[in-house]
Amino acid sequence: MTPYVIQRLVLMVGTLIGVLTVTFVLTHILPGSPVEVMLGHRPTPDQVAAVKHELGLDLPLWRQYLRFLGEIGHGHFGKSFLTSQPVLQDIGQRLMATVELTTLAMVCIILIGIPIGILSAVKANSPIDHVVRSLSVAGVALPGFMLGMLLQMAFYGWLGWLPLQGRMTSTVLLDHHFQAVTGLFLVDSLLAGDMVAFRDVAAHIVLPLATLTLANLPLAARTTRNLMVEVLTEDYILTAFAYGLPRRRVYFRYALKATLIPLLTVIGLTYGYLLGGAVVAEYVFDWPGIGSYVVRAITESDYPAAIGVTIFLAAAYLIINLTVDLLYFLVDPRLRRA
Amino acid sequence: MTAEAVPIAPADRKIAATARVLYFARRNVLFVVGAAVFLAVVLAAIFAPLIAPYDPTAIDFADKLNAPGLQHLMGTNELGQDIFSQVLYGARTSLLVGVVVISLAIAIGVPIGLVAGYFGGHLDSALMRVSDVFLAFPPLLLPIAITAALGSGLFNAMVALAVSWFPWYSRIVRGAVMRVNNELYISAARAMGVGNVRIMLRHALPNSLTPIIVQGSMDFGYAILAAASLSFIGIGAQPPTPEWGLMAALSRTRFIDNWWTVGFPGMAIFVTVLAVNLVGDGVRDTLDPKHQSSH
Repeated sequence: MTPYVIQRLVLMVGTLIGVLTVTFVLTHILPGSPVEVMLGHRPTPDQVAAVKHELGLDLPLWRQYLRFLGEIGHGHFGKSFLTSQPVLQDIGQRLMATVELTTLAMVCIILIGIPIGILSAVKANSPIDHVVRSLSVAGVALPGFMLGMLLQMAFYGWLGWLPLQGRMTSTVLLDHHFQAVTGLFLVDSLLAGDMVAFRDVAAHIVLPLATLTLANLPLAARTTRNLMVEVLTEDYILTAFAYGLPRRRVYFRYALKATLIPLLTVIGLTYGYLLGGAVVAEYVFDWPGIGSYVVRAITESDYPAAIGVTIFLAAAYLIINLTVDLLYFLVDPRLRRA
Repeated sequence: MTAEAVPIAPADRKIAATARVLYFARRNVLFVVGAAVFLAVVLAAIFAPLIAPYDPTAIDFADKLNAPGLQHLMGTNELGQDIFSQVLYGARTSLLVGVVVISLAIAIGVPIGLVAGYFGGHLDSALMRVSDVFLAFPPLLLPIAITAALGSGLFNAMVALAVSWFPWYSRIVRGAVMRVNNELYISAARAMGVGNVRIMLRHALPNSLTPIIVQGSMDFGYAILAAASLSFIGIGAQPPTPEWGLMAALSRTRFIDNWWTVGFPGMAIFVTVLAVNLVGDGVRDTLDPKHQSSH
């Protein structure tokens, strides 16, 4: 197993350098210069030269590239133009809001999407299967931002049950300040034993969570179904049926184990979609995570922040994929022997 | 049994063809429905200037935020622009996005996959490693970053989507080429001294056409969705371009009390992408028997 892990780690570092290279190319060769943003209108040539020197833009390209790799390697992502804080600090302050949202969405998708997909596969071509497949075909066609706005119209505008946006009502936040232990407001407010705050936090997370879950549920359910259908047509499953083993035993003893690996793949893939989807969902609901941060950074030409978040999210995605691959070993003994 | 071929009367042949189409249509109701809706969207896009009752960009503050009615079928937005006209013109934008993004992705991805699959070895590993980097970003994040670097705008957003999408086409073509690389007819062509480029284009490429068409028709809808998302967060199409995602974004502050400002562009995206996906599913089921969705 160890050689495989090492091989994967080396590969991941390689990909990460590739990611950094792509990001470098994007920022340094293509048009649009941070100097203009930093200096505003009509700077003097001296000012431009000074800033270029400070940012290292007067160096030859290959030295800029090495410098860029070095800086990122040391964790220097630079300062955000907008907040004047180090980008990593900005990310740190907003990260847990995104983690809270995406992790809960992941849990919901695992608890709802995967069972639906399995049910649909076990009852393939039954009315249930047709309903699930039709809904998932339709669900994929609705963009996440539209779903979010529809939910806002229904549950805020018409029913008035849930807040429009944000993570907490500001008045509640003032009266019910709780200690930030984990940065996950749901957990922190519970730890503080403050039920008023907890209810407010919970009410705020429902709509963005529903948006992110529903937007990614169809794909997860459909992929699970297709993977499970494949497993169920394997020879050894057909053999088990032919022997007349009870259906339940075949599903749970033989089929379920074989689906664990494809299911891990679904989870890894879905996490990627959640990270991308969170950018849009956070923007719709004004959720103070790194998704809405990167949108603001991009629309206001805050280059260091935009680059920082891009690299951070790509690295997070790589690590998630690596974890999923390593989990295969825990699940599948055949791989350990190989 | 006599080996004589029985000549088929032209009329019979016509009936056979019609029967085949009908048989296909009956087995693929969804495909037919999708194709019909898609055709309607295409016609709406082509004839938008004839159908649209108003200039989609004309601003009329006296007429702002009108509910849907006889004057304005889908109401007006906060600038007093007619939403029905904007939705019609938006069909042009979205179809253009689908065509351009997929064509560009194929134009970049196919040659890379062809060369990687045909020559193999170190060149193959190098090309594929580079392609993989583009897949290492979470979906939607790379197009966002590329658009940010290129500058906001519909054209840049399309380029960004194509650049982040091409590796899928490289992989497909590479796989298809590798499968036929050792076939006798390729070896024969080589033995006869046919050049590499000619073998690639004349003999290897045609084998990957089917999977490319399948993938392209499946991706068309995703391209429309992704471009709408980019426009929605403000880095895709810019006003006054009529674009469905942008229309929703521009109504963000007022949509709660004026559902039509977001509802109709939303419905337009949903219906179009659904139709496109149904057509894509139909194309896949027809061309790719391995993927036959179990009927």
